[in-house]
Amino acid sequence: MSGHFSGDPGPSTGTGELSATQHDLREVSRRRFLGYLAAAGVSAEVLAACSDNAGPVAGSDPAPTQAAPGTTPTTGAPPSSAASTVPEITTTTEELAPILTDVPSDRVLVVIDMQGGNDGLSTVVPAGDDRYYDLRRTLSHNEDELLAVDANVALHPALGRLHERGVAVVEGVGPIDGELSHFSMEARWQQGDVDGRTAQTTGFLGRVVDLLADGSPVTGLSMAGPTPHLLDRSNSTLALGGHREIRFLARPDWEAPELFRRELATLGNTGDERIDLVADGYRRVLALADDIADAPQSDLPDSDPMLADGGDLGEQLNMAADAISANMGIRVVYAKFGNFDTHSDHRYRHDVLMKQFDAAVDGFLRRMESAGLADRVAVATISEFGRRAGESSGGGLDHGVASAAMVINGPPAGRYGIPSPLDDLDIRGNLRTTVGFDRYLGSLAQEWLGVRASAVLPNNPEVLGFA
Amino acid sequence: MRRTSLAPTYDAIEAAAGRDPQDVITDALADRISPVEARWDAGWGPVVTWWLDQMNGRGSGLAERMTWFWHTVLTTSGRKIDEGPMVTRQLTTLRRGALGNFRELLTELITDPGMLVYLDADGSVAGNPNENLGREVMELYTIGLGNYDESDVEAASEILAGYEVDREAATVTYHPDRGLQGDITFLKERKAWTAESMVERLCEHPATAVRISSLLWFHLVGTTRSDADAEELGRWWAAQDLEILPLVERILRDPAFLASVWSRPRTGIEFFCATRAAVGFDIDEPWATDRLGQLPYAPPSPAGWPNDRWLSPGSLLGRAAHAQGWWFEADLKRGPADIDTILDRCGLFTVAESTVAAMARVDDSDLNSGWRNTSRWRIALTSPEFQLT
Repeated sequence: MSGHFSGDPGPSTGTGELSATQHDLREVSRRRFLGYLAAAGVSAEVLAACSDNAGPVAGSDPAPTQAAPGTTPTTGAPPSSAASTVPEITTTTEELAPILTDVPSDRVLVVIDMQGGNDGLSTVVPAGDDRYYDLRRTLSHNEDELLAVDANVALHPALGRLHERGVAVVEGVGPIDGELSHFSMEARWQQGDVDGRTAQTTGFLGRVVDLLADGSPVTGLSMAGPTPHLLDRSNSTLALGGHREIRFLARPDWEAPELFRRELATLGNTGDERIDLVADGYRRVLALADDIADAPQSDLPDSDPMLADGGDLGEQLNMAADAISANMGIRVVYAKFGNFDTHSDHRYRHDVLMKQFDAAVDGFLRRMESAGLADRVAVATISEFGRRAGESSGGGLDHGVASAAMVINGPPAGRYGIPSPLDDLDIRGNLRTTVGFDRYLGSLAQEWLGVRASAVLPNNPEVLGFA
Repeated sequence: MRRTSLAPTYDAIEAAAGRDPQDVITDALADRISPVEARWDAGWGPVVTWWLDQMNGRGSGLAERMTWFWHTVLTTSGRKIDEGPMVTRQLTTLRRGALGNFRELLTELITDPGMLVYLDADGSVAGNPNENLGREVMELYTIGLGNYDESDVEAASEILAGYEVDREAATVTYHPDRGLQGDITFLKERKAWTAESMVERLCEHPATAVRISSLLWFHLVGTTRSDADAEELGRWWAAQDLEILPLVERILRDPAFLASVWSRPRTGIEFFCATRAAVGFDIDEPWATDRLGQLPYAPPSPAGWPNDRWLSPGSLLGRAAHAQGWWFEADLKRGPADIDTILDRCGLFTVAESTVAAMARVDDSDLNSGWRNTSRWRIALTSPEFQLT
């Protein structure tokens, strides 16, 4: 027996002068110990290997085709301490319908994760509070450069385009009993665990996706690779790691990649389930790439501010705009932006990031406008924590607790939440949380996407009145 | 050989071809590696870069693979530790102990500075200890869920209190006054437990040998078995005093090892290493492992990397993009051109007709010969066969 598979050789072998059979018996006998094909039993593991988010898999809920109990590989355990003791949120136990019918059912939420901990005071500036200038002796903004939201609060000077559009600022957002570790606080935001006692084995955004999934190719899309934020149960997410590549796969710009793309689509067709499964995965990727490439208006000139000034975020959001325009059913997009961990040189680094944010988000919304989709899309920021109220040496800011978030193109512009008092810092000198971040996340879910907050977050958080 | 080494080279496979597989396994079992030979005072990045080079070096064999395996099981994250000395010290422990004794390895790791920091036991004080490490040592590293209750988690956390890490020196100090005072009940036994006696007790528990040997079986063989088979292997391993090398040998000599081909997907790091081995060793792109979903010292959670995502669309896109990476182009253009040789270099001795046909059709294109080479290679590296092990 040769090592070849029988079966359909593929759709386009007709022209091949070099017959595949010439490669029969490729010295297989000499190396039989390597080339052996086991009796064609398809490994459960191979079949299980086709979902697309990252992060831990619940021990109580292994993929159905996975290993038998007792032989379950490393993934089969809950991620963190509280997971085994806190009841999971399951929509089935909800008495109220999880989806609200009075919210339009075609809205999209784009979440921008400001990684490293964004300083609220530099972003949404309490310009009318003298304590701000006392706390930030070298890092405070010039009052005349600030972009007023009202008499007391203003936006960072670099957010001009967004200020023009109108920004909903949410003040005082943070955890209950915050920790100062990036890692721990990222995990708590990812899971929607506001107090560190309600860890979940799925992501908050993943649970939102689970409730919105309607059989479309992709409901949740990560522009930043696999992320625990989008860890879902319904397998409705796609993670694009190198966000540039998927477009490249669909519209290669010259012959070599075009040939690669074309041939990638011909692989498989062997009748061996393991091989064909992988080949089908490629075809799914290519189909998505085609969808994205076929979407209107997908090519901006390099000189467009979104690409020229928007940094990596501009590229992610440009790609996200393609994907949303492609009508694949996307409702939640996750993008990653930073580094906001400005322990030193805060002023310069934060200014650069704000400029990029302004250019990228404005460009994204321009693209949505030209695609006629602008009334469906809102952009919201998250960040694992804020930064210390007072400055550290070296013009930096250490890890903090509460911060300010921004929502653009969704709720009416203005102030939401409750400002953290500048004269009542916590024992480490951090701004206190006045709005649990679960209330913020719950408001985005319920009031923008129409997913009831209590269906995706513990303890039924009170919404902020975004509508 | 794909599953004893992380980066099987064509030369190594060629040398093994025609020999008795059992002799090849004997040679593989003799593989040993050096500990980490340098120490970096920067972050964790240089350590990872050095480690990836070792995995892909010409001598890389079973010991490198086992080091990697232990990192996936007893995992920590550089994103939390972020200190070169701590990552270096832990990697040294893993490399030294990869084929030694599991109990000794775990005993060392449980008070390893990186581990204490990763699972929040650094600075933990008895009376109100942090429970992260105490829980995970049972749930992930030893007996597994269902074999302990919350009072055992509390007890384990008391037992593991009192340690303090000097992050820059990568050293640990035990403060008896902050540690457990007197007796405590852990797994139904009341006595003056220490971290060492706790690990010893956990390793005596039959569930530990079953869990860990099952993980290794899956890693090396890629198939899943009945509970009875898993328990049998665990019992056997417990009788070997949890010595790792005999367990590896027993699994490699099991007929199932040679019989199972393409039994599981290559993980991100396995794909990365196999690609480097096939193409050549002069590719310096360690951060590509991030896009392939398996940057060392960056697991998504303390449970390591989920095994069920390696063929997802996002993951396959990453692999196709990797094969298109600029870092290959020069090598691929110069590399061997004919289909047979390319498939050999990739270790693909059994191929689908559709794969060979796709490579053959490259000749129909108008590309110059360098790009034809590159294209044939790209197809081979993305072929479904190459994604499995």
